[in-house]
Amino acid sequence: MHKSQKKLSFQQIILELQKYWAEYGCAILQPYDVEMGAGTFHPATVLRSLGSKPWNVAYVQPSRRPTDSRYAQHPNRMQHYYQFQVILKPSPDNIQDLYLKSLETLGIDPKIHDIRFVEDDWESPSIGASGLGWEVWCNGMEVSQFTYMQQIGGIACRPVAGELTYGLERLALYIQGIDQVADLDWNGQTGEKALKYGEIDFEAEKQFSKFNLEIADTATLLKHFSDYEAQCKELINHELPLPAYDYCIKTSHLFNLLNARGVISVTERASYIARIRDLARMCCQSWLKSQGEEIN
Amino acid sequence: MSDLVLELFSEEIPALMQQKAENAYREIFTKHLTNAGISFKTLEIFSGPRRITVHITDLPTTLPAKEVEIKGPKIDAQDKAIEGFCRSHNINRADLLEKNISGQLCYVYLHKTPETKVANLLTEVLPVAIGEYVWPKSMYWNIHQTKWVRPLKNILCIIGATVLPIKFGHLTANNVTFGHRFMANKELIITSFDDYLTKLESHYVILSHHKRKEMILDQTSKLLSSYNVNIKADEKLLEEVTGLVEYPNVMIGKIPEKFLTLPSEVLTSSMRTHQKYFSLFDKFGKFAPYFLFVSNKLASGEDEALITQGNEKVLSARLSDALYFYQQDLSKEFMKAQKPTEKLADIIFHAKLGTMKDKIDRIEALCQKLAIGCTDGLLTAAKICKNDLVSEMVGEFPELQGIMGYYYALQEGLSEEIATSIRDHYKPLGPTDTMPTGIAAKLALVDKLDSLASLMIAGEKATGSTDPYALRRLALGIIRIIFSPDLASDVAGSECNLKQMISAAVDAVKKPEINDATQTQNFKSQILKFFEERARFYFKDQLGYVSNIINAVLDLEKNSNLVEIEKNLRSLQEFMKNEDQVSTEHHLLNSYKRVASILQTKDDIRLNQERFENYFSDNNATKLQPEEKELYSSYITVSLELQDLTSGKIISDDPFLSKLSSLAKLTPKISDFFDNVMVNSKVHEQAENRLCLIYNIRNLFLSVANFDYL
Repeated sequence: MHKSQKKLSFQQIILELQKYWAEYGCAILQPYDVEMGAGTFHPATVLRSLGSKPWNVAYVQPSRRPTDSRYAQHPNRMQHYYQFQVILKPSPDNIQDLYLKSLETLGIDPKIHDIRFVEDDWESPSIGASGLGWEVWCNGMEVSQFTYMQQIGGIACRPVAGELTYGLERLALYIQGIDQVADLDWNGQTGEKALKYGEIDFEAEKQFSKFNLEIADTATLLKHFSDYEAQCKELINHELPLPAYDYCIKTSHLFNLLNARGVISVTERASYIARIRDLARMCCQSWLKSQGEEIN
Repeated sequence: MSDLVLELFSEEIPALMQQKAENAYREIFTKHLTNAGISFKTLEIFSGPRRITVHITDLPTTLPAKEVEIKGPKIDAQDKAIEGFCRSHNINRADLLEKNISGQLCYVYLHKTPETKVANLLTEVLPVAIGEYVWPKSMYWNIHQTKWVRPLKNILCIIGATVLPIKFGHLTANNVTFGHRFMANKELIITSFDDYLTKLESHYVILSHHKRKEMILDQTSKLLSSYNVNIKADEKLLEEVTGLVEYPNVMIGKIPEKFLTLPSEVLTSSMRTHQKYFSLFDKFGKFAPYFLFVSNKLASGEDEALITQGNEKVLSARLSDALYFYQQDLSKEFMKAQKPTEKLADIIFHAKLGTMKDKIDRIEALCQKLAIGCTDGLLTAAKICKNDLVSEMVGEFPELQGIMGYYYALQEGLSEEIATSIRDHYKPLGPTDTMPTGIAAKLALVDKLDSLASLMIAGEKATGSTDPYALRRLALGIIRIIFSPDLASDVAGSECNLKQMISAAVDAVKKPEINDATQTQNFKSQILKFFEERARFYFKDQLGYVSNIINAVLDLEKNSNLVEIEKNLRSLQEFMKNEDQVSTEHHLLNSYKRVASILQTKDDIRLNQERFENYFSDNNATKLQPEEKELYSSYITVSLELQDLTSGKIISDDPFLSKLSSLAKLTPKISDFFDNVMVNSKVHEQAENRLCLIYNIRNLFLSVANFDYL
């Protein structure tokens, strides 16, 4: 290990990041309790990035990607993992420096490591969102996604929110100098109290892989998709964008499950995504209206 | 005289956008200065990941006062016109002078511009120039209204050593710049371009893209010789990595042996796509266990090892994935069964054209239908040529399609010939790519034919500016394959012309729209026409024939055998060269022109074959002039000769050339006819039939080639 590096357990990494951003002035939120594919889908990002009010938050978000199921066999690919999400709105002029300093608190000194900002524009067609920014590389490895949100739900973001998404497992593998996620030191203890990532998450990884790829009842999932879509629209009619958005994210997760089961053909994919996007658009518009904001 | 330095300092600009912006700005700034009447000696633009810099030398301090005479309306023009002129130049009638311009007395106005300070002019001009370039993608940030490719942080603008505080967006220019983000992140005060360049360099910023590239190439060659390896040239990647660093430091890392069992194309794609690493090879051309990368900082000892090891680790993870995919794919044995794999039915070829499985079915049918010599090998290759599309590897690296098929086929025990067909049936991928040979060439032809025909039926088009389905490349590929020595003998046979190929391809596409016979015919004509354009391009650009010769011969509706057409082009070209040496009255082209020009004046030529034959029959012989009798007789002879040459009754090495020679026999007769016979005779019977003769002769010419173009 290089003299500049710190030995941090998985939970310490999360605590350090939370501490750093709390000191900056972010509200440290808790993960959202609906299944979602990325930290971006949290209403704290999708809904709050819209409108004129400032918003500075940070949170961990457990994320699910059914198509990445590997039965806990793959060294670093899983259907469930943790992202650390930061939203700074409006994006401060020194946001890049803030980000680099956060890496320093994790023992990654930008003066020593080769840190690069490599063009990567992020897009999520299912929520009508897009932004410009970079992948952040640390000695060739992507450790974060850095995005200036330009639009969400088809609505322009003014002011613009800066989104930082840290790949926690990636960072941890690098910081701890090991190759398999299963072996990550989770709690920084030794002896009997020591817990590894695999001991915490990998039984779930196996069982959910089987569910995602083999067992999930596709007929039921399809029916649920239509049901949730209808419920979402109904809630919009009642001017309840927040519960409505819950149902929007639910349809997105159902789509991911159906996709993993292989029942969505290439031609159908576009139309499912369009349906989810419509829901997202309605939720975003309804949300802005409820906040007394204009939709530009 | 002073110099200007303008720096637009921002967050990291996408690497591949920098050069284009550099070139565009060179034009934009030059244009604006010129239009404003500001002279300068040199104008340089520099681009890099965090800055766009403009350096202009020898700007004048002031522009002298100017007097420009602006011409107004005539003095006797309407009042409205005169007042309008005054209004538009913001003057009174009292300011108008009279001047005699080309014999007319007009009002003129002397527009005086006072001496202007260039600095003031630039304050207006520069922000306009900056905003004129439209980045391929741009964004907003924070609360600012400014739009730029990435957040603009600072503008430096100095004339001489003085700040020119231009405004762009929310920023006002100053005399500050910044060193390398990590190695020397200091604020630097700048007093001149030399100062700028020196301070940047000592703070680890290499301003010029060209210089950075040179450094990379220089460091690379040193590493290559010390490790005794060669590099795979990759201009685009080099361009990209040059735009990713402010201070390049080329480094080398090691690839674990176990990954070297992967095909080299897999290694290269993996390294290049995700990691921007360069592939290295030993002197035997074998993939070396090293990779080259460009970092953005100097490092040595422990620090250098940290960076290298970090990169090696990432690469190992990537190659692990690749190895996993490769082994997974091999275990699925896509090729062994020698038939299209099930999952091809899940891959859409085109929304309106069904799946890849459907495409394979069409290709198989076409292989058998076209007279190109269908062997078992060709059929097998056709069945499995797209199987690798369902593999993990091609899913991850679409550019490896065909290449993976090649390796999987070999590994699963199929022949080198079949494996090569799978790999090469996508060729030629571009103008410099090698051509496929043997059954690969046939498969390539059939696959492209199916793609082109079906995509055009589905409504896809190639326009002047876009060709998303690469239809032009498909057609050109087909043409090139037809001309490749391998295929020429098989394909050039008279049964295998373009028209038939297109017909077969269109018929193979089962679509409701084209069950209608008229529609089918329309598609076939449309596709043939598309081929004609490409053939014209091919004959002109690739083979060097001139346009008029091509136009005279090329008519795919009449003759769609490309090999034959090329032969005719050659003959015609030869013939035309020889014509130059022939005397005027024996000049074939001249004869034609006389024939054609007479007909041009006649818009209604009534042909009555019976009267025509009667007029020229033996019964009527005494009533005819000798010259018209001669011409008619010659016409009949030549007509028969041409028929016999076409049917093959007269055998010739070069039927086309023979036909031209045959036509040439008419020349002296035509000459005599026009010199002695009055076509526009007052006698109606004579006029009608003489014209008929000319008309028929012209058609005879046109049956050989389109002489109108020559």
